[in-house]
Amino acid sequence: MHPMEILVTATLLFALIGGASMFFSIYNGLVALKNSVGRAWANIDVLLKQRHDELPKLVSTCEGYMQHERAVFDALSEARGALVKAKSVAERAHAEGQLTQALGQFFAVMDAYPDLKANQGFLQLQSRISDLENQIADRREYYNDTVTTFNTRIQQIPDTLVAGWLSLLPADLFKVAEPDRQDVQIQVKPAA
Amino acid sequence: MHLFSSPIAILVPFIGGIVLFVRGFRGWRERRLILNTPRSHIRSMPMGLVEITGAAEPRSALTAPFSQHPCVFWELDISTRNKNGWSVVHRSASGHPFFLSDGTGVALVYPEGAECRLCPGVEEVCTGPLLPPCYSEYIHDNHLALASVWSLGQLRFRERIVEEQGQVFVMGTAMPRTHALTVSDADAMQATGTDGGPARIQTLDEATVAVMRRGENEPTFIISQKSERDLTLDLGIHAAAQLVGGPLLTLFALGWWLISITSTHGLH
Repeated sequence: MHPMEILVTATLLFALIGGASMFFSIYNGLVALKNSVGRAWANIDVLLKQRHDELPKLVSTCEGYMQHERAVFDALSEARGALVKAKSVAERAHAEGQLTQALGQFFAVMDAYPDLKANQGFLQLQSRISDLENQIADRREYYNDTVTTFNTRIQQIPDTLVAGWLSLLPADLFKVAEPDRQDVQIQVKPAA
Repeated sequence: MHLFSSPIAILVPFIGGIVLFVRGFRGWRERRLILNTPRSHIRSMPMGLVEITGAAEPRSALTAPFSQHPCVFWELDISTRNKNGWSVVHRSASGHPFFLSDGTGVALVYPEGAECRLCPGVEEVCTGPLLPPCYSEYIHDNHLALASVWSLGQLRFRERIVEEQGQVFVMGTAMPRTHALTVSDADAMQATGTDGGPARIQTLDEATVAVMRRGENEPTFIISQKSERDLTLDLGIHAAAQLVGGPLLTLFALGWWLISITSTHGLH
């Protein structure tokens, strides 16, 4: 074999190994990223479930004090029910926004009940739900960052070639709907 | 005798090129992993591979071995001079855990097994057996038996530290914190050299959300004083240089070997 042929063969070998390694690296990277999106969503779901479980305790603690706030309890119950039924990311995001707003309204109305505000059990629940709200907001941000990275990757060259072969589709962002972002409207009824 | 006439002189760049190529891919993979992992807030970070940034706070009173600066974490190396440059003969790092706080929560970082990318600190080159006390004491305390042989030539001492409240980027595996943790009483703690008394440690321990360390399934564990952007830029440049330079080095060695055997056959 001529020395030049050996050199060309070696160069081609490097290009082949390099190309194959690049392909595997992109493939594995996209698979890992896709699983990260799933993991990020599951991490939000865990907190949503925890908050969901805290709500009946909150309602039972407050019912005795806030007998004239049926509308607030109904809104909370309705939002909780919607969250259970929601399946897709968009539906859950909408239901989550509704629940956050119902909770905001609930805590705003609670200011008119000093006895309730002095209840230790209620204060603990309020603090726990408030912590969960903050954590949900953080994880929503984390999920959206992961989804944005994933969606960008699968549309960029050369990843898009591998993504097309894997039939990867863009994932949904966890967006809060515009009505859910509006300020809480408070109408406090005088306590009996 | 020509430099490239011996088989070893050809084999070294040939294999070195392949090693660089493989390392380039590892660097590239690491860069992509950092880019693909969003930064988490400590209070809500999920368990598993995460990326956090925050201010470092000591858990134990630490002083850097060479500079005697109080610090949160230190790493050092000692190198000897040979014809190809500096060769590291001793490397060490503090294994003490430290706290990392980002304003939302506190994480406890166990730095053992981490790939540290710290900014350059103390660096001094010494010649001869009479070393400054800070270095000779370290060598003596650590029973570095070959130190007398090393000190026949030039020795380079390097130390890098993370100072208290210094901003640190950590990418590693988050695990739930140990709930069985107990803090010793004031006297016992003072005996270990821990500053601030048990109250400070107790407060930080209670605020600790999770522990960061090298994972069993995911070995990536980076502690860096550079920002994520600078770190990925550095990794990208290094990886690209190794991915291009490695094959070129191997091809050069191969070409040289082919030329040398062709010319030898030609002469005969």
